[in-house]
Amino acid sequence: MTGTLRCALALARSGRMRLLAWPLAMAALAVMTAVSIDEFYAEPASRAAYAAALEMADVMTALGGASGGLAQLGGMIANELAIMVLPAVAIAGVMLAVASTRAEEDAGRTELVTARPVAHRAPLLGAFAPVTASLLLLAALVVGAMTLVGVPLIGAEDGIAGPADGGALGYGLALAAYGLLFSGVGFVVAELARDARSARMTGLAVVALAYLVRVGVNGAGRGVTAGDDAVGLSWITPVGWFDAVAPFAHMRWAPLLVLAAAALGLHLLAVVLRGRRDLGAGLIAARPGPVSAPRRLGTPLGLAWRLARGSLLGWLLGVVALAALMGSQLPAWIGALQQSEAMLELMGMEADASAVTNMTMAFSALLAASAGIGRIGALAEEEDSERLALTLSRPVGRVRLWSASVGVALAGAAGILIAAGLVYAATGWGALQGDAGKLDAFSVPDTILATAVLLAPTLLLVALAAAWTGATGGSPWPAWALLGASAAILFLGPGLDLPDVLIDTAPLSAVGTVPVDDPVWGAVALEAVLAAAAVVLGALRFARRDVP
Amino acid sequence: MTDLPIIRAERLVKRFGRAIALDGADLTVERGQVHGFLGPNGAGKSTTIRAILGQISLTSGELEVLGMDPRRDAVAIHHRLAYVPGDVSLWPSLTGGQCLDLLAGFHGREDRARRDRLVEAFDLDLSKRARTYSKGNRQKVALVAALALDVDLYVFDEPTSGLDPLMEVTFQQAVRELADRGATVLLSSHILDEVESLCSHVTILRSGRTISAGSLEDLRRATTTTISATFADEEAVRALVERIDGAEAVADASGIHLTAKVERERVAAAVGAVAAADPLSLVVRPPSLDELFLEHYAGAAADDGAAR
Ligand SMILES: Nc1ncnc2c1ncn2[C@@H]1O[C@H](COP(=O)(O)OP(=O)(O)O)[C@@H](O)[C@H]1O
Ligand SMILES: [Mg+2]
Repeated sequence: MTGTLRCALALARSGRMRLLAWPLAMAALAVMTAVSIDEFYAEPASRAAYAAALEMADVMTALGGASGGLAQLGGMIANELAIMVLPAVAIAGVMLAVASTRAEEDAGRTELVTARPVAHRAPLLGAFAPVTASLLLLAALVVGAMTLVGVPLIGAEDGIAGPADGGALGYGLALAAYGLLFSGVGFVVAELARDARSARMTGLAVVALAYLVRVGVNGAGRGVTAGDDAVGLSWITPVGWFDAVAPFAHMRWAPLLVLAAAALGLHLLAVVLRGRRDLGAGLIAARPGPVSAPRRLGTPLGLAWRLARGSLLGWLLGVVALAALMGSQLPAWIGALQQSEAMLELMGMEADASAVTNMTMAFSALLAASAGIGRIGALAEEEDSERLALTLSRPVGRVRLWSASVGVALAGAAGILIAAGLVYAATGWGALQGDAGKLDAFSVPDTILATAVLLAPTLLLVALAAAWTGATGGSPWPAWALLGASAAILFLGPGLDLPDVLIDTAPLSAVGTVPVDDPVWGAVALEAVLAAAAVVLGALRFARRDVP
Repeated sequence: MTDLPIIRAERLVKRFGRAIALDGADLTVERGQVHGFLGPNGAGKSTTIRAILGQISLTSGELEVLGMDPRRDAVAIHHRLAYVPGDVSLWPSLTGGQCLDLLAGFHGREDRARRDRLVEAFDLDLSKRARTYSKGNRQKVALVAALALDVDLYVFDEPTSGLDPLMEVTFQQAVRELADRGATVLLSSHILDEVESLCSHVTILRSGRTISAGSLEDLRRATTTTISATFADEEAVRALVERIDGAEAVADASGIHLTAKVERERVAAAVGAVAAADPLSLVVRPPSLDELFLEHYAGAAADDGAAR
């Protein structure tokens, strides 16, 4: 198609930061994980404990890796990576796809390009290339990280039973197909939605739904985790297809081909849809809205809330659903934990509800902080698009406007975490009724304590984002980086034997494994103070700096 | 071939969901015309232009550009067309020069000397990143990118909304050069002076329908001439107000002022009558373009009011 190559080059050039950021971040994670696992479990004999610990349906396999093959180095690495990589690669696929198509269109650049001798679908086909390349690079770098520590590219490690056609390459293929499936989702919703923003929200909702269903299936022991070599219910989500490939235990080619075929199908669907759609308008037409706004919209707080409510509600629903899932399945989680004594020894935890509570609330805190940082990012976009300057030209104080937006972001993040805590406490309490034995380690006050303690790192992350954007006006990427790093340290730290300094300074883990351990009150206080300081600093800088 | 219109649009209808953007619009642009495209905000000018560019599909109607189908033959048409949108957005991380190269790359050929001349004329700093350009500067980049092409048809959608008066003159100069070369120009604009000084023909759109089309001369002819006179004697004025349709009188300290809007055929008679009544002063003004459009635009406001 005429112009496809040029469109691809233009996107590759103008979007190279985001196209490289995802692969490099995942590669860093993979290298870190691979090296630590290798250090810790180089001796095959030492792997038995890890494998035994993770044997089937426990909390870890529900949220994280579920594919087995833990006698092999590659299987262990894949297992550790899963909790971060599965959501991250799906999100990367959606975000890259929307950024390369609908966001370009909303900005008006596609209009400029399609007035040139360029086929109608060339901008879309041209977006496939860089996004696909980015996801393939991501998969290749992760494979590279595995082979770096000696995971065979094809086949099993010497002297360890495993599929002869599996290995790092099989894992990479599955990961690439998985990423391309979600970039396909991104391309399709970009054709359907009213604009880039709603395309992103819809795409992320699809990711969240797929992931939650997969957690439910695995948590209930109905998927590939069932242990009878069957795929079980894992076929109902693409995340489950990825689990089912199991390149270090079975190397099933069927689910890999299904992933690849679905990815291809979604890309083709996007191409067909593009042929039926007008530039600048989604297939779902924009609806007319009310002609007047309520009075409160004309206030800083009213405006901030109006702009934030849609995305905050989306996050709230997702996080609350996760909390409800964890709480209502609590007996199953505890039962699974009690069967994996070795695992618990490894993590230094008791086989009771407190471990599940900690896991659930830490995960919720991570998502709540993401919601808050996302709002700060939207504030930066307001500024970039010069809307902020327009609002500021009204009789509105800068500090007041800024405080309203940041306040909504902070309150939103806190609200989401608190809601998750309450829902988890209620569902967990309900699920454990009549099961006195398991009930001891679970208490509503414990959950509330964990929620309260985790508020500090959640708000700190959002506040740091606010300080950065307040001071520079740019996107709060350092806060995203810190969030990613502290999530990695939180989830991988104990298993990977990371240095204590890291665990003690990363915001989410510094406050302690509550309620398993007592909170580190000093860290909680320090984080709270830092968060307050960051907010004030951001406000002061924002009040004085230039607003473009 | 020469007698085929460059753009032939008949009864264009475009609906976005329930919203009707075009409701039977017609537009004919002949070879070599500099054609003004006018109408109040929301009249459907940009929608028509986007249909011409093949960026949207029409609900119904016939549209041919350079004798081809704008959807099916988009690539072939675009080889012979250049476009400047009203709201230009560039690649924020690229410099102005890189944006120009990128856009020129799609055509594969570019008259480098011409581009350099245009960059000079528009006083454009190509080393700046697009992120730091003002609206006017972004517009200039798009103008240079379009004007540097040697094509048959130039489509401008309110291209000068961000330009300063000096650059506006540069733009008009460039359009005149295009016309001298025999190129065809479709210019959607709100700046009536610009249209008046550049365009030979205009099409006026209102609420998605073409309400007037033709040469500027014809259009002028179809509208009213204004006669203003001042009298000392009230009696004479009363007689004139009765005789001339659409005449009005207002009295103030300096005398009694008579204003009449008269169609072309009746101008001679009306002026004769007013002059015979011996006014203190007499001014006959031909229709200005402003009035011409205000008449049409005001009609649109009335229409919208009725619709609601
Ligand atoms: N994608 C769209 N969805 C809904 N309505 C639209 C869309 N694009 C244009 N319109 C409507 O069509 C009408 C004509 O718009 P436009 O062609 O942009 O007018 P203008 O003459 O000012 O350029 C307007 O009422 C506008 O609101
Ligand atoms: Mg317009």
